[in-house]
Amino acid sequence: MEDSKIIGLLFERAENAISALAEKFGRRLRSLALNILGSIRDAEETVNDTYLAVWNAIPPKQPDPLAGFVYQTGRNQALKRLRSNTAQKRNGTYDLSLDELAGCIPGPALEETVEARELGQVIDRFLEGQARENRMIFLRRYWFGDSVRDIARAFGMKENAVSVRLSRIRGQLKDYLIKEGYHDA
Amino acid sequence: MREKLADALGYIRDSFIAEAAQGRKKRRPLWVGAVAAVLAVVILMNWGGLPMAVQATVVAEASASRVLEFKRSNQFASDDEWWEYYELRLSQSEDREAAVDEVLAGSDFFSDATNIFLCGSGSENRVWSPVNGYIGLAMLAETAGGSSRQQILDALGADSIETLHTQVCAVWESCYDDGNNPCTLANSLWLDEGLEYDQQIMDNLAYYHYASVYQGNLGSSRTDRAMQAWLNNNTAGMLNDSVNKVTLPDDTVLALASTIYFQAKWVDEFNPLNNTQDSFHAPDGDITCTFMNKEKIQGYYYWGDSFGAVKLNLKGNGCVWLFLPDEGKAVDDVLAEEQYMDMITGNYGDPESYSKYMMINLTMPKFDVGSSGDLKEGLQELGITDVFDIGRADFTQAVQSKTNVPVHITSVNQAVRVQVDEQGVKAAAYIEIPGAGAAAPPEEIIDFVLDRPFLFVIADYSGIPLFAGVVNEP
Repeated sequence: MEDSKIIGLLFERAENAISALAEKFGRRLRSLALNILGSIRDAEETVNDTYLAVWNAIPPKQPDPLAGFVYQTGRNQALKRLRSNTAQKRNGTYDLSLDELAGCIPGPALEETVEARELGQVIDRFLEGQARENRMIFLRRYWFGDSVRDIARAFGMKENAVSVRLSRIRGQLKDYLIKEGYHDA
Repeated sequence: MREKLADALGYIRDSFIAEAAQGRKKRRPLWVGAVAAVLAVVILMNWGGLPMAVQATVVAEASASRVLEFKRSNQFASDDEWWEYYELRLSQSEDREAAVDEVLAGSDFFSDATNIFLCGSGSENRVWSPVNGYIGLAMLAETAGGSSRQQILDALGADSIETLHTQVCAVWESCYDDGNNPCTLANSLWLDEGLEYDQQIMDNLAYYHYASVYQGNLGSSRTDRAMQAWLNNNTAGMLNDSVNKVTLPDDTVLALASTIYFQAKWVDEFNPLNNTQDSFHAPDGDITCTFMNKEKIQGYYYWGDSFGAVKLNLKGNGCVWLFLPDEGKAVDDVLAEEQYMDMITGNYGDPESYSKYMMINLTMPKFDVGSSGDLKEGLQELGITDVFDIGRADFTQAVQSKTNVPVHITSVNQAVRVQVDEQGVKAAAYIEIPGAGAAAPPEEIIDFVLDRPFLFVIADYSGIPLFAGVVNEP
C-alpha cells in the first residue's frame, strides 16, 4: 500500500491503518527492535508501542517519507525500553556496533563538549556526501544494528568486504569530523 | 560515548533511513552489458569394445534444491510461524557459508587446477570452469573406491566422502540460482544397459550431487541424441556446436556429464555510444577490436606482485575480476602465483594492503571466447591417476559388469564459452541512470586498459570461481 494511502487511513482513524503499517513496516521494525533489545518479547512489545505512537502522531503530522518516520519512532521506542531495563543485561550485538562507531570519534573529550543533536547533524552531512551504497551499508550497521552477515547477504557481498567497507567509511568519518573541527583540543 | 552516539544517530534525516531500509536498489531497466557463459564436462569410461543395445530408463532423479526460499511474513499464518522459518533459513545459510569457506580456505584445487588448465595458452584463448571441474570430480569420487577415490578426495581437499558430501552440496547450493540472473548447474550419470549398479550410490548422486542417473544403450545414436539434448537443454543451446559432436564410443559403460549455465547483467552499464575501435596487442601481432569504455568509475583497484586488477559487479550473481599483467609480465606469471585466486576467494589477508579506493578509467574489449579439450592430462598432474589406469581404476562399489572387465576413464572432455558484451543494445533503447550517490571523488585516477592479454575470473558472491579464462585474442 502506498504511503499516502496509509496516512489517509490514519487521518480517517480507520482501524485497518495499523494492519497496513504492520504489513508494510512490521518485518523491519521487528528486526530493528530485536537488534537493539535482543529479546523477542521486548521486540514484540516495542513494535506494538511503535504502532500506537505513530497512530498518536498522525494526524497532525504528515511525514514524508513515512518509512523514515516509522523506523525513527520504532528506534526511539526500542532505545527507551532498553534504557528502562536497567537490570537487564545489555544486548552485546548492538553495543558492539556502537563501540565500533565510537572508535572513529576523534577524542574522548568530545563526549562532554558536543551535543547529541550537533553530532548527529554532522554525521548526517557526512552521509550526504557518501555514495548511496556506502550510506546504506553504514546505516544498516549503525542505525539498524544489522549484523555484518545480514548486510553481506542483503548487498550480495562477502562478509569480509562489508567489514572492510565499514572500516573505510569509519575512517572517512573520523577524517571528516577532524576537518570540521570536532576533535580534542 | 555509546549513549550519546545512539542519540546522535536519531538525528539522521528520515529519507536516509527510508533509503537504507529499502535495501539495495532494484534492477535498473533496459539496457546493460551482459555476461553469458556455459560449460559442459563429459567424463567417459569404458571397459573395451563390448557390444550393447538397450533402452534408457531413469535410475535416480536429481533432488530438487533444498535451499529454503525467501518468503515474506505475510505468507505465514502467524508471526511465530514466520519467525521459526526465518531462523531455520538463517541457520541453513550459515551452515552453507561455513562449508563453502572451508572449501575456499582449505583446498588449493581452484588455484592449482586453474594454473594447470590455463597456463601455456600461447596465442589462443583458453577458458575453463573451476566450479564445474570441482563438481564433476566430486561425482567421480562418489562412484570410485579405494585409492581411486582417495586421490580425488586429496585433490579436492576433502578428508572423507562425508565431508565432500557436505561441501559439494554447499558449493552447488551457493552457486545455483534459477532466477533472473541464472547460474544453473546440472549433473548426470549415464549407465550402459546391463550394468549392475549400487542403488545407494546412485541415490547419493541424486541427493548430494543433485545428479540424475540414466541407463540406456550407450554408444547408440539414440542415446547420443538424448545426451546431446540434455546438454543443450542445460546450457541453453549456447554450446550447440560442441554438444552436437558429443557421441559416445560403443565401448562406453559410464558417462558423467556436468553443466553450468550462467548469465548476469552488469550493475553499472557500459554505454555503447562510448565504444571505440582500437588495437589489441595480441601475441601474434596487433588486431583491431571493439573496446567498451567507462570513465571515472569509483571503485577499488587491486594489485599483486605481477598484476593490477579491477572487479566489476554483476546483478545477483557476483562479479567479474579482470587481471592485467604488469608491463614485462605475462598471464602465465599471474597464474603461477596464488595471489589472484586468494584475492577472489577472500583468503589474502587485509584488503587494505593490496587495494585502494580510486577513480578508474576502464577500457576493455568485448569478447566471446571458448575452448574445448580433454582435461585428462591436467587431472593426472593434480594427482588423479588411478581412475585412468585400467589396472588400478576401482569403480567396483558403484557398478559391476557381468564380464568383470575393469571400468576405467578414457577421457574428460570439456567445452566452455564465455561472452562479455552489451547484449541486445540499441542506442535508442539506452537509458543512462545517473548514480544517486555523491561521494567525494578519490584523489587518484588510474587508467586500466585491457589492450594486451589478460586473465578474467567470474566468481559468485561467496568467492567461488565459476569461470576463469585467458583472453589472447578477443
